[in-house]
Amino acid sequence: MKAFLIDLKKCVGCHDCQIGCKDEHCGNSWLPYADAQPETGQFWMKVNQTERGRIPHVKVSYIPTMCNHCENAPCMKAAKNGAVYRREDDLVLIDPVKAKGQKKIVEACPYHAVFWNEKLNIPQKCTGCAHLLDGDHPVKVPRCMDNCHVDAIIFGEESELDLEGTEVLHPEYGTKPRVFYRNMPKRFVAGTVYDPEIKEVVIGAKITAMAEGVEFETTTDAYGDFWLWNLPEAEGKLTISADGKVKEIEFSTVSEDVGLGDIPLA
Amino acid sequence: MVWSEKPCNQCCWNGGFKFQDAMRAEHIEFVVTNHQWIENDSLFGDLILPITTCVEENDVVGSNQNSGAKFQGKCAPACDRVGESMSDYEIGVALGERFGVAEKLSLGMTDEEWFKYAYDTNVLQTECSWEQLCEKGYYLYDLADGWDQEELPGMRGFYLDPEKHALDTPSGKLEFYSAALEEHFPGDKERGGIARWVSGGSPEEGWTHDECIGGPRSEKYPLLLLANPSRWRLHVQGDDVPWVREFETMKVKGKDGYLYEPCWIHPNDAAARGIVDGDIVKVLNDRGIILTGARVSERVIPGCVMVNKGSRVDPIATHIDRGGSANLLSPAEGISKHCWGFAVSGYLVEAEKLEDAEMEAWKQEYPDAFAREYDPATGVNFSSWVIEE
Repeated sequence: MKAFLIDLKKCVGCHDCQIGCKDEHCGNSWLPYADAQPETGQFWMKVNQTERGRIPHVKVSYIPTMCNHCENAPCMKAAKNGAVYRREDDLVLIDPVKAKGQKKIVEACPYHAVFWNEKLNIPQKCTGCAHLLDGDHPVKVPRCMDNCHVDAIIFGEESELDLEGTEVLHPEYGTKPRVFYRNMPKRFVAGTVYDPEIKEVVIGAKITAMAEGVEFETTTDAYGDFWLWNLPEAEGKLTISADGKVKEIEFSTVSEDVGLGDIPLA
Repeated sequence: MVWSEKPCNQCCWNGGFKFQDAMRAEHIEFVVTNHQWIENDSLFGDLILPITTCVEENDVVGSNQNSGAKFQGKCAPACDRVGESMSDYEIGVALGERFGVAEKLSLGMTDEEWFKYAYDTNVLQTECSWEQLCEKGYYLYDLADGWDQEELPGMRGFYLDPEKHALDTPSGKLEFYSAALEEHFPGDKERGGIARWVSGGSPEEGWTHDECIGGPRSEKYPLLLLANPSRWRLHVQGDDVPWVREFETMKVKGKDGYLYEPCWIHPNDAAARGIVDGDIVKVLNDRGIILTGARVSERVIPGCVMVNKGSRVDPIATHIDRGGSANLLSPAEGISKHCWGFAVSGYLVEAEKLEDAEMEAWKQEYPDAFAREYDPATGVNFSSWVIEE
């Protein structure tokens, strides 16, 4: 059983996986695995980015997304004539001949990882570069993995991958994805604490937060900044204390990360 | 007559709109450029000479001064010449023949003789024979003996004993005040004897620039444009790569389907101007207007907008550019009265939402500019300008 493991802490958003995928498949027909991908418009591997927080506490997260080669693949169920099939190594492939005209295969994917090729009249998606895995080629791994300079993308035997603590995208879809993510970003709360009387930042202020009954703790750094990481999506309360002064702030990480900006501690 | 072998002044250098005016000046009777396809300044070319890319040329190459690994190479062409293309050098020599001065350029040497001449005057010869270089095609220099045991790297000597290891300043010391600058270049308001923050001002008062928030011009143009190099191209190179143009932050798709160069703007500045993410935005100053696509973002500091330099020009009319080439708006003046250099990292602008009525008026007034072929995958390109081959 093969699987992908993507470590988001390593990903720097260079997009070379996306480019490598295009280089492998655009204009190159790898029948019977896949027909050629059009020059633009399809993303068998796509790097998405999310901007988080408020200035000056801003972070950008990158996430390479692709076909999840699901155990309960909805595209397989939507396909007629066995046009979508699972290989022995668990990669899910679309047969470009049998899938002709089957637009339902595109619509079935909740991850929008299947694309319609208007010209060839076929659905297309990531093949896990099965043609490289099977063939006698110097590159014997998926091109996205081969192109990744920081080893953020790994493809291998599931039993040999460390999947402890990893997550999948939208587990609620119930498709059991076989692309696992490590270090999926959680919510943060950040701010800068200052003393309005002396107009200086407060260094070493104690910061605690309660969210979903769990306590999070840190202190402000030499710039008066604090970052509380890995918070749940919840309502919470933040307590800032230094030199006998205490301030409480309510926050919500339900829909987004929180950058509180400059906080006076009077 | 102007002949340019590197026709990318208006996008890569300063004062782009002024450069365009210069190229249109009456007394310049003819413009020639060397280019593989029609790009940037070649749009002003009465004649465009077909030029080779480096992979078509028989040439020698070397690492630049910033390269970590020093090397020299001797490269045979990787492919046949495309069409009638010739190298800059070959064109120069061919033209020289017509004027009877070819020998002044070629010195009567063939390509191979030139390469050998370069080798004979290069330190390379102490490590690698000509025959070896020709056979292998490249050479990586050895590191100097004891390079990792140097006792006085960088400014260590000056730190240990400033008298013995004096710096090459006039005083031999670190100079916070430069007497030499004051003596030789007096009255330079931007580059005086002491480096200090100035916000600039009017030329009547002796300033070269008035490009800072807080200076008089910022009352009319309150935003500082940060013309950073793009993450996704080198100068203009790579602005036309379809796979890269699909990256989320490479371009902003306007409601007219045109891929505009992003104008990164903070939500506060955007809201104050009625700009929402994805709007077509005019970025302007007294030099002209460029069109961009709004990317409302927390990643840019309030008071500034960021438009990466190097987007290809796509002129609608004189001093109005749809391509969003930031350097068109940059000042043409040098750094200061006595210091040449180009001030392209930041300059004052205002940003406004482009109203439909104004765009419609432009379409009526300049129909040719909007009739050009445009493919979002590559942007403005060869086929946008060449009607018939």
